Amino acid sequence: MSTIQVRPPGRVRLTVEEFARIQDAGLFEGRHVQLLDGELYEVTKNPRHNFGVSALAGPTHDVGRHLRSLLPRDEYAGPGGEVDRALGQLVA
Amino acid sequence: MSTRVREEKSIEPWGNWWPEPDIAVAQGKQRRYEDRHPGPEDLVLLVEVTESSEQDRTKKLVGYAAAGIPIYWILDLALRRLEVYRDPGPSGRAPGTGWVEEMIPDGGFGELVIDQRSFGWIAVAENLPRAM
Repeated sequence: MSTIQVRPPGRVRLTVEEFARIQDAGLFEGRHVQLLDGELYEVTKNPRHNFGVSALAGPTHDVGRHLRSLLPRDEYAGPGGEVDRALGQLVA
Repeated sequence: MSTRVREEKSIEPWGNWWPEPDIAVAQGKQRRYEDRHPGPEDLVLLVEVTESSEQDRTKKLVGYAAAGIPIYWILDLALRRLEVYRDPGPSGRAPGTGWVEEMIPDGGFGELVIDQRSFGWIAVAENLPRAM
């Protein structure tokens, strides 16, 4: 008597190499995609998201201005203060 | 220690992972990354800004911990809070991940710590778009 082997349903996970080949072939057609544990996820882009990213990051040369704008006034000692000293080390 | 702040740029892939974090803070000067992206061993902080992307709190939380990322922030626009995950390890407290977690609500302040050094406090409210 023959038996039929039934494979349990499973997900196909891509390797980084496969993901790179698909990207290089242009098959995502402009969609911004990332690979997470072998699965494809679209990268979020919308104005509210972009606001959060820009507000929190800023380029490195703006880190000082960024931090000063976010620190409570009584914790910012002005030019040459603790924040500037810390930033000097951060961007050195 | 010098660091680079990279906004929405690739990082080096590992395993079956090639994420694009919203913000990556990598140690070293810019020239260190002229012919490669920073990898997990270079990263001192990763940040994701999320509104409805569940994978930031599920897959990435587990994957970044496994990769040894020392600090992971999620700025949740919908819940209006900053989630700080740090020190992934076998004895961590975030279920299934190993992270030590801290939830900082709108109106609170998150400490910017890079390589175990504090660089100040970030007001969560300043980084959130207006509530809808």
